[in-house]
Amino acid sequence: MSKFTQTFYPVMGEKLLVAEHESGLKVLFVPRDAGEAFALFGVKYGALDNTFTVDGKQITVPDGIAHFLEHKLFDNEDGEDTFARFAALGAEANAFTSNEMTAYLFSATENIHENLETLLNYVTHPYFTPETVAKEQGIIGQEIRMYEDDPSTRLEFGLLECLYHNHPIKIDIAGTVESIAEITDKTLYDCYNTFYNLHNMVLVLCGPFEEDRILSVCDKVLQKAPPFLAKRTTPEEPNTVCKPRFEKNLPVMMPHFAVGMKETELGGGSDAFLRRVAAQNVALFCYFSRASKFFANLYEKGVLSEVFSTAYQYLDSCAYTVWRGESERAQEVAAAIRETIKLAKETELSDEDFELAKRAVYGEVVQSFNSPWDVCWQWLANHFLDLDPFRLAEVVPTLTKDEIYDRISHWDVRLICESYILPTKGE
Amino acid sequence: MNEFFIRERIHESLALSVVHNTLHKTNYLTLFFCMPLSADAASEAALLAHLITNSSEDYPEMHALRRALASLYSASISASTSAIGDTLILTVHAEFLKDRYAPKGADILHGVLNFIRSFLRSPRLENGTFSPALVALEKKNAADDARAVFDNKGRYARRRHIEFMYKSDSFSASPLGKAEIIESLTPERATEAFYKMLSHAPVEAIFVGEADKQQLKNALLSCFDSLQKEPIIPAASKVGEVPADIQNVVEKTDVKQAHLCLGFRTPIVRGHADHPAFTVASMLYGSGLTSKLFVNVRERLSLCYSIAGIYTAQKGFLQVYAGIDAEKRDVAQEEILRQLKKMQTLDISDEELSHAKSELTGSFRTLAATPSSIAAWALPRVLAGVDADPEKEISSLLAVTKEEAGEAFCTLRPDTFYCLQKEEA
Repeated sequence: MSKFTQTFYPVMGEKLLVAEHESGLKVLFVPRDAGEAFALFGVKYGALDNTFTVDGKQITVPDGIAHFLEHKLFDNEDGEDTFARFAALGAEANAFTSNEMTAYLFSATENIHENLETLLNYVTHPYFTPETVAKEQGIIGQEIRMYEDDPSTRLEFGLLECLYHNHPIKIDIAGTVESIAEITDKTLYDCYNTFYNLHNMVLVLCGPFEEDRILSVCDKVLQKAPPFLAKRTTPEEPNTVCKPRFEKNLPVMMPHFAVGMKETELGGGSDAFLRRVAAQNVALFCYFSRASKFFANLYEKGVLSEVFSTAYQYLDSCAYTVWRGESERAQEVAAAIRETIKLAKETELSDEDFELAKRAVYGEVVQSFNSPWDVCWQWLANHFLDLDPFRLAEVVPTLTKDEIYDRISHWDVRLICESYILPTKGE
Repeated sequence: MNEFFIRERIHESLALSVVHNTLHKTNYLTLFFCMPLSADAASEAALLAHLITNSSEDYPEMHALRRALASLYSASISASTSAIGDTLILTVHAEFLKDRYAPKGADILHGVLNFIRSFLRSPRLENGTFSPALVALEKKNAADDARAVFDNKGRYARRRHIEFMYKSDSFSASPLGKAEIIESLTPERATEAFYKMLSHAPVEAIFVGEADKQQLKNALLSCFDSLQKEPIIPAASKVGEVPADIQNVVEKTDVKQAHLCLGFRTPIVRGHADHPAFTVASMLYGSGLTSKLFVNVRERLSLCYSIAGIYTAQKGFLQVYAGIDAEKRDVAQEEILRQLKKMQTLDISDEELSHAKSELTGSFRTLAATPSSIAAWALPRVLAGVDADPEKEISSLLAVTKEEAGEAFCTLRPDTFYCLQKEEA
């Protein structure tokens, strides 16, 4: 019989309950006394899984198939619409696909255990036919067109094309009109049966659920899963960038830029990984946040505006830092990023700046768990990386300056690429 | 009595509403300055939104100001502009950790309130005006923001549609202002606009979180006590006249996807007796994932990925938006109108009605999902003089019949149909 075990996080004032259900599914539950209930049912299967091995046999599937599968899982054999099932129970439902995962979700304030049953039920009962696959190609075709016109999406994939030689993170999540034309009901079933294995999935819940009822719903809906056999195939990735620059013209008013720096330090176990993420965020705060001299200088010169962000993106097999924004003098921003990195390597960090950064990043971390959605999303994203996100708030105040220096020592201007979306002539 | 949203007028032109919320780790305070919408006013407000939270007498340098906010555990204070019907809103938003999450103890709320007072009472002035250098810098940023609407083609199409449909109406003005007007503003005019706003714009302050109400009241009063004298209440929004013939507008640019917007007017606005019926009808027609538009135009006919019917209750404006293949515009438009006809002829199943109500009531009950969503939900109701009570509103929505929903939609009149599409289509 499955049972929850509990961990308490005093800094966050949060409890996490974890159960390994007999079916093979891991259940993570962050309880709340009242308010909205949120559930995410995720599978470690995303756009980058276009090549994988099963029993030693390598299989390649069309780009965009994980996202296509996400759309089609809403179909049911009895013809009833999944959204209608949730609507009848007062819930809002949705789903999304990223590079490395797919997730199905609902939020509700009533019938929450019934909605949970609906969620587990539809995701574990696929129903694909040639007709419904053909129909979806039109809908996703329009989604692809929408992203083709979207400067942020084009900018991001332009950057990934530059940063990575071989890593499949550069594959467009929705695929292309041509690649999705190759998808059939059979390829969907093949991918579903390979990856939608409960050992490769997680259920994350936050809200006023009851422990016993969660497990009862799992008992009722889930069958014991066979062993999970598929392995991600991640091609070897050189520690260099693929190309220094990407440019594309689109009808935009202002040049959009993304400057990326490839990370070469990966793995090292979950504790080391967590401290690395915390240290990277503190280091980036010191040198590139809105409270940094870098930002103030460029803002006051009119080179940067509030449309600027810095982020550390990480998966288990790749990571990079990205600076995004809009500027007519975008190349000056890229040059200033390089200069600031050189300066960070050469100068000592003051105690005042270090303490301020830790305090600010601690605040950002706690705020990032503000809503049930935030809690579920953070746990889902980090669970597949074997990271405990609630511990970030404990780790940040304990960081040492040496850890920040170590992080900065991995910043390498030779691993920087630039991606630009430039206005079409006449705009 | 409405225990969810407690509003109290604490000054001639300042009302404070408090929603006690223990569900989140942050407190959220917003100050909504309400003014009549026009292109000039929006352009001034857009510039002010850039000017007022980037410096003050206490923090003349942005770098020091941002560090001080960072030391409050990454408190954020920003300003933006928006519109609700014909009312222009300049909003000062502050979101910050609740004190109990500060590991070594801190009075974050007090710190944030001091910042807000400083921004409003002690702006950084030089010879009586905002600094010319700062104004020049922020004019560029504000004008760039106004122009950047073009970069998101769906958003741009919806804005252009409004500009054509409401061309002789103040509602056509973008709350982000007009780049050319922003660029023409002087430090003197910006300063004058700032003090005019403080003197005349009624302010709705909404706090969502945990705080001592008296502390909040005192802090807010200290921002306004000697400043606000003559509040000017923006006039109620007008629905406007329906043209004799449907206006058709096509604009072209370099896009892969076409953006179709169909505009309709109804006399049913927030506060109207049939408003609950129209709200249910609007959800049933195009607002949810079980709506007629989603189920038929997207799911059954595969004509689009994005489709929605967006009801702007203050203006009695229904805007149907779909991202489509330009070659299939006629088929898509025909189906959107066919589904509208079905609404008007009561071709509505009990199940569709029930799903629409469930989705609506579900969305009301999850209002507390984020602190900002509560404030955004409450403001239009306050402006319309309607009690911001979700349970009361849910009861009125649940009472709507199929006939009432259909009749509410019979008041719709087509006005302007707009399409943004690729050059050669």
